[in-house]
Parts: sequence; C-alpha cells; structure tokens
Amino acid sequence: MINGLIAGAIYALVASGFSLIYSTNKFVHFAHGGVIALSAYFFYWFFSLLGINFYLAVLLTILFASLLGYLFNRFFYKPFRVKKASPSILLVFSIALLILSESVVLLLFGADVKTFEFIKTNQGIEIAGAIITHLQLVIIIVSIILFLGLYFLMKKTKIGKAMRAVADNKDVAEIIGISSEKIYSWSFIVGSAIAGAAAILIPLEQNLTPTMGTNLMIKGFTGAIIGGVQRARCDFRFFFTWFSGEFWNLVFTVRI
Amino acid sequence: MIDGYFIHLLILIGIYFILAASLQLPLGYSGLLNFGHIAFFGIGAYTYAILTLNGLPPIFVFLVAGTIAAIFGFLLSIPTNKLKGDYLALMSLGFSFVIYAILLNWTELTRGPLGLPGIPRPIIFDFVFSGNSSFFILVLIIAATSYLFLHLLTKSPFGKALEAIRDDELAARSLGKNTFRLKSVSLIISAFMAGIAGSLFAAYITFIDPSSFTFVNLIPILLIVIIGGIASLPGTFFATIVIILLPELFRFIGLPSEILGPVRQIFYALALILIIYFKPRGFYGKIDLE
Repeated sequence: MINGLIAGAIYALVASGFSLIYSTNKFVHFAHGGVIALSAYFFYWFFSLLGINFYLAVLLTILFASLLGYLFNRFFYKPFRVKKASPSILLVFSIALLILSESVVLLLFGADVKTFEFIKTNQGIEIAGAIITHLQLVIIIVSIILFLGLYFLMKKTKIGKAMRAVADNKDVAEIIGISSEKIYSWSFIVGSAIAGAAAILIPLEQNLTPTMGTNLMIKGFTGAIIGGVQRARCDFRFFFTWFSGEFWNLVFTVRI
Repeated sequence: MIDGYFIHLLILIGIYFILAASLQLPLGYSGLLNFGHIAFFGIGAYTYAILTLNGLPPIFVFLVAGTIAAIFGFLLSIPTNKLKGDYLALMSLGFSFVIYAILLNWTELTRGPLGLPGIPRPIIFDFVFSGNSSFFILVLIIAATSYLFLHLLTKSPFGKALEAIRDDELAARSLGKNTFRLKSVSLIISAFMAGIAGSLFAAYITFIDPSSFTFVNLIPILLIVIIGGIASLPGTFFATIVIILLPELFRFIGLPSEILGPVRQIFYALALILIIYFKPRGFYGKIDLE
C-alpha cells in the first residue's frame, strides 16, 4: 500500500511536468519519457560509474534534464511549429524522439536492468502500522515540495501567470506582449526539470531499464489526463494527478 | 545460403506490405490516425497460433483470425468515431497498449511472455507449406490479392467517399454520407487484412510472443506508410522494400549483434523524423500527413 503511494507520487511527478508542457504547448510531448530515461541514465553514469558526489550528481542531472527538454523544443519542435505542423504530426514526431532516446540509451548502456545502492532500503521506520523506508519518506517529501513549488510558480510568479496565459489563449497572450516562444521554452525547462527529479528518484527506489520512458509515459499521461490538462489551472490539479496516480498503482499492485 | 536469406527477406516484404497497405486504408484514405494497428496484427497472429495449436485447419483459421481482428476493428471504430486527429491517435495507441497487456498477462490463453512455439504451417489439400519457397508463393498470392483488392476498393465510390471524409468530414456528412458507417467499414477491412498478415507472420516464424506487438513495432509500418506516401499503394509497395532491406545492410557492415537492434530502431526513428520534416507527402503521396 505504501509502495502504491510511492509509485503514485513518482507518476504524479512525471504527469505534472508533462501536463505543464502539454497545456502550454498544446501537443502531446511523448518524448518527456525520453528526457526522463536519458536523465536517469545520465545520473547513473555520473553517480555510479564516475563516482561523483551524490548531491552534485543530483544537481547536474536536473540541469541536464532541463537542458535536454529545452534542446528538444528548440531544435526539434520549434522548426515544426514554424511550419505550422498539426498536433498530430508533433505527436508522431515526439514518439519518434522517444524511440530515438531509448535506442540511444540501449546502445550506450545495454539492455540489462541496473540498480543503485545508495540508501539502504531494507530497514525502515514504522508509521501507523506500515513500514516505510527512509528513501520512500524522502520521495514523498520531495514530491510534496515540488508540487508546492510548482503551485506557487504557476499561481504567484510572473512566469507562471504568463504560462497560464499562453495555455489559455495564445493569441491574446501575444497581443498583450507575452512572447509565446519564450514561454514555450520556459515550460520545457521547468517541466523537464521536474522530470529530472523523477529521473533521480525512480532509479533509487526501483531500477533502470531502457524502456522506462515508455512505461512512465503511459501511466504518467493517464494520470495527467485524469487530473485535467486542458487548462493550466494548478490548484488541485496536481493533487488529483497524485491521487489518480496512486489509485491506479494501488489497482496494479493489488491485482498482481 | 544467400538464396534462403533472400527468400526470407521476400517473405517479410510480403507480410509487411499487407500490414502497411492495410494501414493505408484508414490512415491514408480515411484520415484516421490509427496508431493501434499493430494490435490487429497481434490479434491475428495469436488467434492463428492458438487455434492451429489446438488442431483447427490452418486455412480456415486464417479467415477466423482475420475475422476476429476485424471485430476488434469494429470495436475500435465506435469510441473513436467522434475523435479527431491526435485524440484518435492517442485512443488507438491506448487500445494497442490494452491489447498488448492482455497478450502479456492472460497467461492461461497466451502463455504470456513465454510465447507460443511450434505453430504449424498452413496446409492446403495435404500440401504443407513447410519450405520457405512454397511459403513465399503463398505470401505472394495473398499480397498480390490484397493489393488488387485495395486498388479496386479505393477506386470505387466507397473509396471516394472515404477520401471525402479524410479531406472534410463535415462536408461529407452534409452531403448525406454516413461517416460512422464508412469509417467503421474502413477499420474493419483494415483490421481483417492486418489479421491475415498476423496469421502469416505467426505461421512463418512458427513462434510468437507479445514483444513483437508493442507499439514500437508500429514505427516501421508507420514509416512505410508515410514514406510511400499517403493514399498511394505503389508508394507503399516500394517503401516496404526499402524499409525492410535498408536495415539489413547494417548486418553487412559488421556491427556486433548486440547493437544491431538499437541501431535499427535509431534508423527507423531518424528516418521518421527526417521524412516528416522534409517530405511529409512521402514519395508518391497525394496529400500531406495531417
């Protein structure tokens, strides 16, 4: 049951980054899963293989994830947008990017499952009759912090309001002087940074496989849709996403 | 040895041509972005495998497999009727995930990830198509029949009505065309043919498992349809040849076998990206991919 909550929190993280990008850009960014997979392996490379300090690796991974998202937008999606491509084309394109990312990972790292051994997961503390490990506690706390951070970003900051404006009505937003291209870039940067956080938490809690991106996108996307992606209203949306993610994972774990 | 390899490639070209051409009908002619097409392929393959392993005559089972796939095609057409563009794509994609999950998890029926080995080859009048050369003749006949059938279908008034739906569904409806029925029939026929292709696939490889039917396997098919050109059967034919043969060149460069798989995937993904960007019409297409 706790495992369901943890998995739900992870999918909710994936979903909230994704829905930020989807609501602002108005197309399905399937390659979000690719960003996560590449960042997760990046983290693995830096931390496990190169032995870099954990916190530094975390920071670098999140930067890498944001950069990757930004580059995907700048060099891949933007030229299509300039050509007035429909959302369907962008969808096909982002699927191709996802496959490309996962193949690159497969090529560079091999198909076997990789695991971390950073925080011991065989001891836990007991809360309300269930055992929860320190790592899982960290995941929940980090998720809550990120959700609250995202909430404040969208509600209170200028950038956040600009993103919501572009999500609601791009043309009117441009009339009042918001550069939609800049906002698109920012949405990718922020959304991919959240993906980077997920890319760190997932291998710590579970493991790394080259196809993790696809699996995450399937569940994360579902969670995002249930939570409501049409408008960038963020009030309770992310909590819906979390709960829906947790609910589905409860369904999965109970079934298996 | 070269001979056997060559026949193997020809058989694959035949099977994939049927699969890609069957996708042309909803995607190219009807404007339905059916990204779940691989599910019909899988349903056909598993139906053929399960029924023939239980002793039913293979030629009869071909038709049953096609029919069962067609039923799923009909089922898919119901919820997707009102959806457009990328929503339809996502719904059909979700459908293929569901089918994959069923194939993987309904182990009593499909043996899940263990797959189904020992699938018998088809038999007509006591002639077993066990040799690859004879199997190729079978594939060739079915592929040629499919091409002819689709050609006649798309030139018919039915085909014209489908193209009208693709170009402007609202206008088609205002002229009195029952768009739901037309789209539905398009998906049914497409699924039937994909089911036949799946049966051929199962009979040829004689072993199937769910991993051949994930949506990643749809990418080369999609690539064929786009490169060949929307609504172009000759284009689909040539594109199938190109898409099947080009990655085989990688074998001869001398790449180690572990990286052959991902390299092929990268090839497909890059090719898809490039063709969409530079030539969304494909090489023989009539219109752009919308």
